[in-house]
Amino acid sequence: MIICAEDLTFAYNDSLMALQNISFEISAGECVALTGHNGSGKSTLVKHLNGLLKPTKGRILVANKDTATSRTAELASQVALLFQNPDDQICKQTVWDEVCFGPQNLGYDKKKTTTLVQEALALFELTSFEKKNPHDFGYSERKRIAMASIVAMDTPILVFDEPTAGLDSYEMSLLINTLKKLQSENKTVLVISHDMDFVAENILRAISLSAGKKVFDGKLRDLFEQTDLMTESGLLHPQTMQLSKACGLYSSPLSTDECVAAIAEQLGQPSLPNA
Amino acid sequence: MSLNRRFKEDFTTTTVVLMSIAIVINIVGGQLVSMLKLPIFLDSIGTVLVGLLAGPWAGGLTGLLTNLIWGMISSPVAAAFSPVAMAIGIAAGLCAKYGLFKTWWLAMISGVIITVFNAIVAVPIRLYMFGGITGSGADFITSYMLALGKDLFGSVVISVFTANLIDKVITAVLAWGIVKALPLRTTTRLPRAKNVVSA
Amino acid sequence: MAPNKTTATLFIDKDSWLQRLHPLTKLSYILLTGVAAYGGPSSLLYICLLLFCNAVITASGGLLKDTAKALLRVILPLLLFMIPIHSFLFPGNRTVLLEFHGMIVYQEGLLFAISTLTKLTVVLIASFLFVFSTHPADLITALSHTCRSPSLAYLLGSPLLLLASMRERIETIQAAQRARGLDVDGNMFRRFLSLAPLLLPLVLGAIVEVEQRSIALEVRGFKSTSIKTSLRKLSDSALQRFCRWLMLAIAAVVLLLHGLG
Ligand SMILES: Nc1ncnc2c1ncn2[C@@H]1O[C@H](COP(=O)(O)OP(=O)(O)O)[C@@H](O)[C@H]1O
Ligand SMILES: [Mg+2]
Repeated sequence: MIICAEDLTFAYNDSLMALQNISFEISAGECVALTGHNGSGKSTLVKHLNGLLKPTKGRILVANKDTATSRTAELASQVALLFQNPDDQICKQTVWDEVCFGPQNLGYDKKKTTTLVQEALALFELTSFEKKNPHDFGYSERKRIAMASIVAMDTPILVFDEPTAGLDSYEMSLLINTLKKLQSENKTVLVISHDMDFVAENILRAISLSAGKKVFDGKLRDLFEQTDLMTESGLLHPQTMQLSKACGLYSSPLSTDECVAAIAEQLGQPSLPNA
Repeated sequence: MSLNRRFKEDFTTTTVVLMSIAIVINIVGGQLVSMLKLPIFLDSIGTVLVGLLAGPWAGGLTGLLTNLIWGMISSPVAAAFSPVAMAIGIAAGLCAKYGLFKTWWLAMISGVIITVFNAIVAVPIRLYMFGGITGSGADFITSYMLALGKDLFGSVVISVFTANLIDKVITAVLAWGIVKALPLRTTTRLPRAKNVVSA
Repeated sequence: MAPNKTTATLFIDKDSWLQRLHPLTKLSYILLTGVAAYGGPSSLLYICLLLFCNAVITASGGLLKDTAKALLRVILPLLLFMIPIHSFLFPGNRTVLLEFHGMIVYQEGLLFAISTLTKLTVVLIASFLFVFSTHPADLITALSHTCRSPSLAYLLGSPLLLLASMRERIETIQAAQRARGLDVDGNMFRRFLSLAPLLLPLVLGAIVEVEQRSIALEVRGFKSTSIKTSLRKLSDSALQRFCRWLMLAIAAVVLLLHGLG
C-alpha cells in the first residue's frame, strides 16, 4: 500500500471537525477520484499526504512513512500536490523556469531536470511558450503551466486538486492524456473533481466525503448506483448515464463508447454508424 | 488648488489602486518574514515598488500612509516613524528615475542609497523622541557603540544604518525582481516601469 | 454602528465625550501635546503636569484601564532597554549615583532616560486616546472631507478591507510552494532563498489585478467631483473648530519660542 490512512481525524479549530475517522488504502499505480460537495474536506485530506497538515488523531502513511513526523520539503519528493489556483504558485519569469522550480527543489541534476521539464511542457503543449512570461497568458494556460510544473517533479504520487475547473475541452483532453501517461508509468494519482463526466470516463475508483466523513469507497459504478449517496454528496450522474436513463435503458454506461454500445443494443443493431 | 485637483493630475486611478495594494503588501511583508523567522523587516517592499512603478511622490505617500494605518490598527509608535517610510518611497522613486534599478546589482546600490535616506530621517526621530533607544534589537548595536566611547548621535547613526542595510538591500532586489516579472500588459500600463525593465 | 470585528483595529466602542469628538480635534490635541512635551521647558515637574492632564482626560473618557495596559506594553520594553543603557553608558555621565560590583549607575544618564520616557508617555497617552476613541472609518471620513479627496479615502480605507484576504493568501501560497519542495524551515540561507517564491505570487497576482480593480472603480464613478455622503456621520461644532485652531496656534507659538530659545 503506497498510501494508508488510519482513523485520520483533523480539526482546524476546536469547533469544526474537518475530517473524522477516515481510513482507506491506495495501492501503487491506482488512480482514484476524490469527490464530495464543497467544504466536505477534500482539500484538507490531501494536504495530509505531504505533511502540510498534521492529523489531530490517527495517522497517514505514505510509502510506509508517517507524514506527521516527516518534513514537507522531503515528502515533496514522494507526493506532488497541485493547488486549485495556479496564481498561488507561479513565481518565475518564464514558463521554463516555472516548471523547473519543483525538480530543482527536489535536487535533480541538470540533465534529469531538463528532460523532465521538456516532457512535461510537451504533455501540456507549452513547448513553444517556454521563453514567455507565465503572466502573459490567460487563466487556463496558467493552469496548464501549474499542472506541468507538478508533473515535472516525477514523484510516485500525484494529487490534483480540482484540475478541471476552468479548462476548455481541448485542455481537458491534454489532462486526460497526461493521466493516461501517468498510469502507464505506474504512478499513483489522486484527482479531486466535481466533473462526473470527466471522472466517469477516466477513473475507476472513487472515495467520497461528506461533512468530513468518508461515505463511500469503491468502484465508481457502485457509487452511481447509490442515488441517495449521490444526492448527499451533491454529485450529478454523468451525462452518459442521464442520457441512457432518459432513453429508458437499463445499463448505466460511464463513457461515450459504453453509451453508444447500449443504445445500439437497444436498437438491435450491432453498432451505430459513425460511432 | 485643492488637494483633490492635485491628486487627479498626479495620481491616476491605476496609481491609486496600486498604492492601496502596496500598503497591504507592506503590512503582509512583516507577516511573511515572521513566518520564515528571518531577521529583517520587509515592511517597505510595497513602498519601494510604488516608487519604481509610479514615481517618488506616489512612493513617499504610500510609505506615509502605511505607517499611519499601521499606527491606527496596531501601535501609534509606527505613526511616529511615518516620515521615515515616506523617505524610503521617495528615495526608491528617485533611484529608479535615474536608472539605478536597471540590473540586480544596481538595485543593490539603490538599496544602500535607500538605507542612507532612511537613516537621515530616522536618526533625528530616534534621537529626539526616543533618546536613541527604541526597545528593538538595534539597541544592542547602539549600546555597543556607546560602550566603545562613541557619542549618542554617532551610535544611533551606526545602529540605524546596520540594522536597515540588509533589509533595504533585499527589499530593493526583490522589488527589482518583481517589476522584471510583471507581464507586458501590466508594464505598458505603468509608464515608469520602463525605468526598470529596459524595453 | 456596531464595532467592526472583521478588521483588526484598536477602536473601543464606548459612548463617551471622547468618542463623539471630531477626529481632527483629537489629532490637533496629539500635535499640541507632542509639541508641548518636546518643545516646552524640560523640567520634570512640567512634564508630570502634562502627564497628569492627559491622565485626567483619559479617565473622564473611561479609557484609563485600556490606555494603561497598552501603554505598559509599549513602554515596558523601552524602559528595560533605556534605563540600564543610559545609566551605564550615556555619554554625558559624570556623577556616580551607585556602584555595584564594578557597574556604575550615573545620575545624568538615569535622568535623561526618565525624562525621555516621561515625554514619550505623554505623547503615547494622547495617541492611544485617539486610536481607542476613533473608529478608523470616522478618521477616513474626516480626512477625505477636509482634503476633498475620494482617492485619499480609498487609500486609507481599502487596505483594511484587503488585509484579511491577503493574509490568507500568503498562507495558501506557502502551502502551494512547500508542496513543490520549497524548504521554508531549513537553515537561514535557505529561508532567505524562499522569500522570493513566496512573495512573487502574492505581489504579481495583486499588481496584475490593479487594472481590473481600477476599471471597476471608474465604472462606479470614482473620482467624480462630488464626495459621496459617507456611511458614518461626524458631529462637529463651531466650538470644536475654534479649539482646533487654538491648539494649532499654541503649538506654533511653542515651536517658535523653542526655536528662538
Ligand atoms: N484554513 C482553514 N481554517 C479553518 N477552517 C478551514 C480552513 N480551510 C478549510 N476550512 C474548513 O474546513 C472544511 C473543509 O474544507 P476543504 O477541505 O477546503 O473542503 P473542499 O476542498 O472539500 O471543498 C470547510 O468547512 C472549511 O470551511
Ligand atoms: Mg477544495
